[in-house]
Amino acid sequence: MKLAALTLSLFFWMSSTTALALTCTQTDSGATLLSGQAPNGQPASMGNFELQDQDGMGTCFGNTMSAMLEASLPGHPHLSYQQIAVAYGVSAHRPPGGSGRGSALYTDQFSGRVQTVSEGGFLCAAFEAVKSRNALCTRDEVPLEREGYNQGTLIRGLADFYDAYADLTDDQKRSMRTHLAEVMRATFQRGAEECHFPRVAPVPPVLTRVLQDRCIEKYTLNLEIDGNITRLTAERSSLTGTASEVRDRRQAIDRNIRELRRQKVRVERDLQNLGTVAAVTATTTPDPGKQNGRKAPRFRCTLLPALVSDVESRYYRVLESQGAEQLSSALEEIETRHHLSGVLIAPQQSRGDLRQKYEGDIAYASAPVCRQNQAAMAISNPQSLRAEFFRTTNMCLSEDVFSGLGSAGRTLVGLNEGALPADGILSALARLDQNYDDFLLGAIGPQCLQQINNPPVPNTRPQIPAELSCNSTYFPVHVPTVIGADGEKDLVETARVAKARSEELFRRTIWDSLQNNRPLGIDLCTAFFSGPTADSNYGVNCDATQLHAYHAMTITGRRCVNGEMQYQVQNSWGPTCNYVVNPAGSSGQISYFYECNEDAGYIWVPEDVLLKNTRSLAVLGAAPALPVGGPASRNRRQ
Amino acid sequence: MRILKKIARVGLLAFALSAMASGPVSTLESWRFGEDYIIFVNLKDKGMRVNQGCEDATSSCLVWKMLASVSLQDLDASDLSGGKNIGASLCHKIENAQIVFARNAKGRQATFCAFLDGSMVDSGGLLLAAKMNAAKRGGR
Repeated sequence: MKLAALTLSLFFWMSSTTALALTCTQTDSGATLLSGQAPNGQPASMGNFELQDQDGMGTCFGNTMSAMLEASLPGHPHLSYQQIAVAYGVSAHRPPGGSGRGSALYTDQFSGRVQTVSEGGFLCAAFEAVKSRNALCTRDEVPLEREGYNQGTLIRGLADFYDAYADLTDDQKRSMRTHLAEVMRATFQRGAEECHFPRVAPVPPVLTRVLQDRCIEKYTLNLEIDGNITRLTAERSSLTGTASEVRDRRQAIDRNIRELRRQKVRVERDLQNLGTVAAVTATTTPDPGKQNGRKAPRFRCTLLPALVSDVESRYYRVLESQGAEQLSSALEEIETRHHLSGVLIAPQQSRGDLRQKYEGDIAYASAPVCRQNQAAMAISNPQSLRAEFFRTTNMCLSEDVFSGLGSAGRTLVGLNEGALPADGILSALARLDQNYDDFLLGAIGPQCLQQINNPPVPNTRPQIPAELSCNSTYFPVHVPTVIGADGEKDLVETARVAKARSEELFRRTIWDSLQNNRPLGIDLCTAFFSGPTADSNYGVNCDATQLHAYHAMTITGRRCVNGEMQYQVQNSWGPTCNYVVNPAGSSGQISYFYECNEDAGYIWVPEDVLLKNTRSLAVLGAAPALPVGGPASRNRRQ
Repeated sequence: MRILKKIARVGLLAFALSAMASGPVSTLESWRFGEDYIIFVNLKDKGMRVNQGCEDATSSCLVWKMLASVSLQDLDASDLSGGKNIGASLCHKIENAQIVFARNAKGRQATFCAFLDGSMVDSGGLLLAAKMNAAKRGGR
């Protein structure tokens, strides 16, 4: 009885403290503030970063840190998240004794499953791992992150092969390296003949893609306008109601139809200035979306010859012959500007902006993609690879040794988008004896790897300045509130104090970082995706059986709504909010637990909900770090 | 002046589209897959993007069969660790389906699940369908 009374009184006391601590007013230090908008802070905004989708890869900490670094570094470069994830993975999974090259795979304690070392990690530890690099790779230099098809399968295949190779004898390793290098050389030689260098299978580089994006956008808009005109016309002919209602509505519809027709004229004119759109016939590639394209027709825009020739002569020719240095001056050409202006490509951008925007063109060469496909074909069949290895070396190895390589090869075959740089496979094979981060980066971004290992002088590549640091603030994870036979007062008191301290620390850390434009990441349990009552810190632990896991995201703003403080949390799952959908919401309509932006994939989460599920906050810059909570609770990866 | 005109045009179009009494619950979007583009219908009332031509749930497109059967029960802890996109993880569980990356003109990235007949849905849509299927069954 006494115990129940004590529990009850403590419960009410805790509830009242919580309610008081988590309220806000619109005037609370100017409650609404989005990242990068603080007047006196540094110019680091997380509001405009490139929305990412991490696919089925457990690289959330890499995705989040790439966005945080993007906001912090001069010029705000789009950084490769795979590079960050794998740098962390290698530093966190050093081989026993600290020497040797380590493994690409490990068994995750949380799930008990084998996964690559670049999956599952911590924000500030990832920052430290990547800070030790001389320079960083941009996302353009790791095209897999932009154009990937099943990037997880490709990376897992490479990782499997990397670890299988480790189990070979020295003789076998030597033979393997020699043999595979020979296979690649022969493939490339054949490719040189068959691919008709240098420009038979050109990959549309960035500028052409921007023009094509615009062209298809106009085409889609035109289709949508047609659909709306048809719908309105049908509505017009079936109006019901009183005569005056029908008349008013008909007039409104007529106005709308007239406006839509005017828009259609402009859209069609813009489209004509760009090119023509047509459906692509089925290709022979193995991608189901393409091979059986009848269900999802693919479209291409054939740009106007005059536009192409102008871009070719004034842009790519300069790019090809003189490189990036002359790129911006090529775009300065008046005629090119005129063309681009005519098709709404925002020619008012500064030289620097233009150069940064189109520099990615350099990463996209044309003929090498043809070579990439040849190389991928050469390793895609583990049985024939094994047989050929046996014929050449007289060594009989298990097919398992080649299966990872085969899986990677099969993923790559037919990708003509330059998902893997041409020399990636050869480059990775040459690094089989090196650490996994060099091996993987060698495959997915070989040119960048070369440069970060031997940075140019002066080093103009993106790099993390020495003064930039990452500070973690920890929160109590799974403070038990279940009252046991002994020490119940202590347990309840521990939870209460921990939560009260956390509330203050949580708000202060977030506000400080937003107020000073410091990029902010959050490490949390996704339990609250299933509803605002989820409490993985003071209630039930983060529970995998309920599909909850630790995850990293960015916090990009705060606001006060009806006395409740809310934070804008940005995910890296593409433009969707379905992860916070309320299945029990009103029927016929999609209902979310939190307000969300369905285009940008961010949500507004109440402070209390977030606090109950947060494990740590990570701030880039010089932020106060006041650790709370025991280290034992910090071991589970995101 | 040109910019003002452009803003005015966009504003007028937005007005015209929004002014329709029974406004559309779906819009068209183009997404780029490598060199090609696929046009999707954003079915706002259903919370998913399905390729144009398959937007009708009664069509023979495989996507609707998969959406009806996709299940959260197929997932285990390893499909979650590292903050994996659960929708993408669900796609990886479906035989002969694969995840494909796409980008829109705003540079935003998204993953789509492509089925053997070429029909596609965004991974967020797949996740939503799995959640709804679980709710119908009264659990995961």
